[in-house]
Amino acid sequence: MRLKRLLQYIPITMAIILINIVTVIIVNQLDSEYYKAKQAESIVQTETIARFEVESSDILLNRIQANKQNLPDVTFVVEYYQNIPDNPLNQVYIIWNQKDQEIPLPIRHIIKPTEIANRNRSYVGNKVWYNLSTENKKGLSINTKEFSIAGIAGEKGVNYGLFDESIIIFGEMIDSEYTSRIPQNYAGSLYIMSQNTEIINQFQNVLSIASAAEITASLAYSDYADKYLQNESAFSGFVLRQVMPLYIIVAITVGIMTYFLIEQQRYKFLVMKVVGATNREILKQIIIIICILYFLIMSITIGIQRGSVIFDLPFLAKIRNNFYGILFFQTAFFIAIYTIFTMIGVYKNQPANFLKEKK
Amino acid sequence: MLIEQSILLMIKRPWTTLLLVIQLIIICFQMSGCYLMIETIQTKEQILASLTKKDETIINVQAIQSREEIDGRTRRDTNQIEQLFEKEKIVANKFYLTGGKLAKADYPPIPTLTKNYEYIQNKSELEALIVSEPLKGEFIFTEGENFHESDFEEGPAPVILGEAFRFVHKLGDVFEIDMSTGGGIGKVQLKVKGFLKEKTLQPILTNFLAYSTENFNNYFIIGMQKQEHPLFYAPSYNIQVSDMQYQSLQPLIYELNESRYAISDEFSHKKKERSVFVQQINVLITQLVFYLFIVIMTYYILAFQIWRNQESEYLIFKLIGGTMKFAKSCFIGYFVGIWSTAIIIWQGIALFNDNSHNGMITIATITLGMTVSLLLVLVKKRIN
Repeated sequence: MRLKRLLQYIPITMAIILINIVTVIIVNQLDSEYYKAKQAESIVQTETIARFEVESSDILLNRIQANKQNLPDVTFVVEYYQNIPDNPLNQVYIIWNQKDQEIPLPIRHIIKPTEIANRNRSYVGNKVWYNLSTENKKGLSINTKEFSIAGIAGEKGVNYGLFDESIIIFGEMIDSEYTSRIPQNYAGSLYIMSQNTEIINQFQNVLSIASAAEITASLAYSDYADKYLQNESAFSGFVLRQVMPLYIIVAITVGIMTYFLIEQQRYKFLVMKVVGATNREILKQIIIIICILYFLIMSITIGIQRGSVIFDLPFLAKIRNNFYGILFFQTAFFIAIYTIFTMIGVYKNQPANFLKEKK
Repeated sequence: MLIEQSILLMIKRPWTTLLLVIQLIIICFQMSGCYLMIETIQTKEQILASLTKKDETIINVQAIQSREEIDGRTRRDTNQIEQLFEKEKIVANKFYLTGGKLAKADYPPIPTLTKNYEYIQNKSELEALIVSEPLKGEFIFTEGENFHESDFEEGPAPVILGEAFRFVHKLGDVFEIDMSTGGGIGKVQLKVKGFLKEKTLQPILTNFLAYSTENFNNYFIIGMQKQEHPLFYAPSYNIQVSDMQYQSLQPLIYELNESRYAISDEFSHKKKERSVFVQQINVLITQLVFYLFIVIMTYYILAFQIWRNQESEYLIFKLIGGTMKFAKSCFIGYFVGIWSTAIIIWQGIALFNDNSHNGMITIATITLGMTVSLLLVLVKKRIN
């Protein structure tokens, strides 16, 4: 019987769960920089690293190839752009002198564990993987070199990751045949995993880099979407156009559901009063119901969100723990509105007044 | 009487009605935005479909002049690269890149992508490509045809234009371009030879063509005999190739004696843009389904509650001789009232902002959502 009584709360429960889901999506979009920054920092093991920005990545890579033996024995990474099969213009990270997993790569999942130790291994981002044809998923040919795909780079449950549209390969496979096929006129970056000024200077001299080194604690990350979000007016425009309307649409639905639920219960509580129920008894019943509702809504919302992260579904992504507070507060807010108006109704509506009003 | 009753129902719940109208207006804007985005993706798909293979692109090989060649005004020797293309059986279109200015009346309305191009177009300026032989490869014409050898001999220079120019010219029209600043060869008389199809990737593509408009509709290719003029000293070549061919061609060009050629991929940026959009298409469809779900859910609950609240009134109405058909019509009239108010306001705002695309499909989706919700209520009531 009590369970049947709860059926009338299904619409409002659904609407609040919906607004919570919308909030998770919004938070995820607005906070997308956080996971990118975290991933950019994660592969830097020393406190800081040196970064050189170069105008022509093809020239840099050709110089590295020609002067490899004169470069200090430290790990370094080159980032540049090129077409890879089924994926136009991707970020390519080439890691040289990698020693015992010195650079901990964020891995979403391993596809072929046997390939991890191979020199021709590669890790691709999830968007790159999604675009690859079945044939290319078995192995990629880049600049005449064959690469096997050992795993997907990134993090489970992160929809906007730093490595989503990139490929990570290793210096052992790079030779002059590879570098002669790199596109011209694309800027690139060189990261040296060392804080030693002598080593940094040696790189600069051997590779004839004109620009000065920037000492940084993470990889630089900038793509079209980032540039778009970094622009303040574009960002506020994005919030106004995309985020706010979505929230308002669902909030209005929640408001209407609440209004009609209060309307519907007005008669029910009047009848209860007529048959002798006191305000205290009715309020006790309301409080029990809202506690159940609150628990139910939060469990379902967090269940859906965590499930989506665990199963790596592109539906609801990871959010920072402190953002869960918004969900708890938001749910409490909507339920509080319902409770306050219902309580006012319970105290204000007396059977005699109601009949007078109806008359 | 019916309209009166429906309006009365709207006035009876002013706040609910107002909120519903606001909600529906926002949904209309969001939905039409989704449809517009899907349409844009379809245009990009259409451009991509004009490529023979999925991994094809268009690359540009540009001969670079040394300082001495520029100062001494000497022609760049390009025999080696042309022999290389011949040896590799590569079809290349050789052209000279320049600019020009048209009379206002000869300049078509071309929607631009960025402010920079808008600035150029406001001054009726354009990018012109000069070729000295008929175009090679699969060019697709809407009207007219390719150059013939005889076209280069005498009379006005033949010109092949993008489809945007059909607004101001027709085949055979003669007009003038001023290339005093762009190419330094003064004013040239042109005769329209053909129009290249828009939203199609033709085998000639420059950076300007790739970025100036969304539709690839502003081609301006002039056929002209080679002259002893600096404009003709350093040619560019456009080649339609696969990524693999592009990668193999690069070292071969580097290996040429004193190779001074810049090779760039002119279409990959567009392909990238398209692939990002294609990934967004699932998000857009999810959004559309979400809005439809919101409409159905809101109006189902609303209609159900309103019917329940009004039921006693309808029964009294029936007792005094009214028909239930009329009562139901008043009930549906209330929702039609909300629907029409929202649609009128939305269309008014959209027209004011010159943004009234995809109106019909949006209205159809909203109507479908509301009809489904009302039908669900009526069916449920009938079953009960």
